[in-house]
Amino acid sequence: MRQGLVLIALLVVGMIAYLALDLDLGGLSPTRGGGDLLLEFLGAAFKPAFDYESGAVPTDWNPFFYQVFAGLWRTVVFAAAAIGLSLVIGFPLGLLASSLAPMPVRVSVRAMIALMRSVHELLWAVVLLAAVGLNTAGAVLALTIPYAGTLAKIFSEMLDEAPPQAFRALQLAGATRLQAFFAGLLPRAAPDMAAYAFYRFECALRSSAVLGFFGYPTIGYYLKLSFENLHFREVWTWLYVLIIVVILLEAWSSALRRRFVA
Amino acid sequence: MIVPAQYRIDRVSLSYGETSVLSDISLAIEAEQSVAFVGPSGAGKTTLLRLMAGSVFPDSGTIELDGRSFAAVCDRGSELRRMRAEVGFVHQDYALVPNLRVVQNVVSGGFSRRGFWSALADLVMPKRPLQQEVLSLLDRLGIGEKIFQRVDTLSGGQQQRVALARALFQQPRVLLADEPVSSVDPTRARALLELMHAVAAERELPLVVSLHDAELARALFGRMVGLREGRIEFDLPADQVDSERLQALYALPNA
Repeated sequence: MRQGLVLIALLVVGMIAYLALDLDLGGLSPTRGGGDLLLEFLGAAFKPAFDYESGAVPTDWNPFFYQVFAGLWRTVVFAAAAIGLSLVIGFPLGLLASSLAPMPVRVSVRAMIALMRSVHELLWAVVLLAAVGLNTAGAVLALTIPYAGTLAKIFSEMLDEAPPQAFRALQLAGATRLQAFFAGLLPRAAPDMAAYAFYRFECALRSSAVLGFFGYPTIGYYLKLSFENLHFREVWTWLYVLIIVVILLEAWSSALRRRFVA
Repeated sequence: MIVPAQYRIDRVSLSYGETSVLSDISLAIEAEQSVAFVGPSGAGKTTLLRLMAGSVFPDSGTIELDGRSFAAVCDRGSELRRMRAEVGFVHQDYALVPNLRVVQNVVSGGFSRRGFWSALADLVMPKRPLQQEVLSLLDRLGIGEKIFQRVDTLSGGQQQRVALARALFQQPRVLLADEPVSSVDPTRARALLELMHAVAAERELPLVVSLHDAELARALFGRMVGLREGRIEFDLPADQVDSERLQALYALPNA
């Protein structure tokens, strides 16, 4: 009932926004030149590039497949570094934001988490780019701030929802709260927490790719270059590589999840 | 050798808001006794056990284990933990961690006598001597070969024994169990209660169990305490409890 009202309210808000924007779907029909470009772009999907599209590539450039591999590698490394750091920061914050922490701590940590999460990683990237320049640590930090916040929020909810019987029983057996947490509560939340962290790694991979648009040497950087040069077949190569990696990661994480949860 | 424990429960009352759960309960439980709390659901059996374990504290009256009161240490963390550790408690829903192995669940019963880091290390990978200790305990309870299995792969009766093993691994001075056989069939219920009696006797622990099955209590326990609406109706040797008393104990309010 409640949920139904929320959904209806969202639909109404959507309609009001539609009117407010005075949306004209006719504006979506491309211009003549744009249409040709679109067709060319979509056509390139069937023949992704296996070498540089431009004939006039400087001789000291690395081979195309090497470039692809290096770009992909850096995309994964940025994402992995960010997720690793996010876990280190997000786990204790999640614990402090859960109902296990005393009230004042919980409230202030939750406020901090909200701040971290409310700014998107790309905006953090803009801010950090201005502050520290094109710097690897800056890119990792831009991803880490909102990701640590999100992990902390979800972790705290998972800890609060984990069945508390063993946690309480261990305290009744004379264990300290912290001992009972590690032995009785954390193990029950851990499978969900691991699966969620893995899902966030996928998200980090996409964000890491997009960070390239700001000049960091991830897939987005090469994607942007190829796009600006209208090398659509190269664009598709990058997209396919990214999609394959995300799908592989997805398969791996769901396999792990089945093992954890079943 | 462990000196057998003594409980003194003196004029204990407890209410949740307006609802009185227990009123004016007095009991003494001596070493090596086996006591069954019987009575209809809602009679206060579980609450009385929880009071005896130091999980809740009475509104009035005192609960003493060997002359020390739980309420007196209720806001002193380490002393309360030390007292709680002396009471082994088998919960009705077992309160195990289903996705951990048996050995990890049992080892966590002994955390009160270990430091934080060594307890954490034992949880990840219990050391050899500790594993041996757990194994001999599980062997005694008939589930030694399950030591490295995940708890959620075990049957209800086996999980019950893991819960018992965890409580015993605590090295308690008294063993309490809340409706330990409510979810196993009558044959297994009897076997399990006999096992609890045997291990409690070996360790000279008083055994206090709440049971809704009064016949089972009469067959296996030395002493029965009948509870109804938060009051003690009778407190007798089991062989003096007759059917009339039990009928009165379980009678519907307006029948």
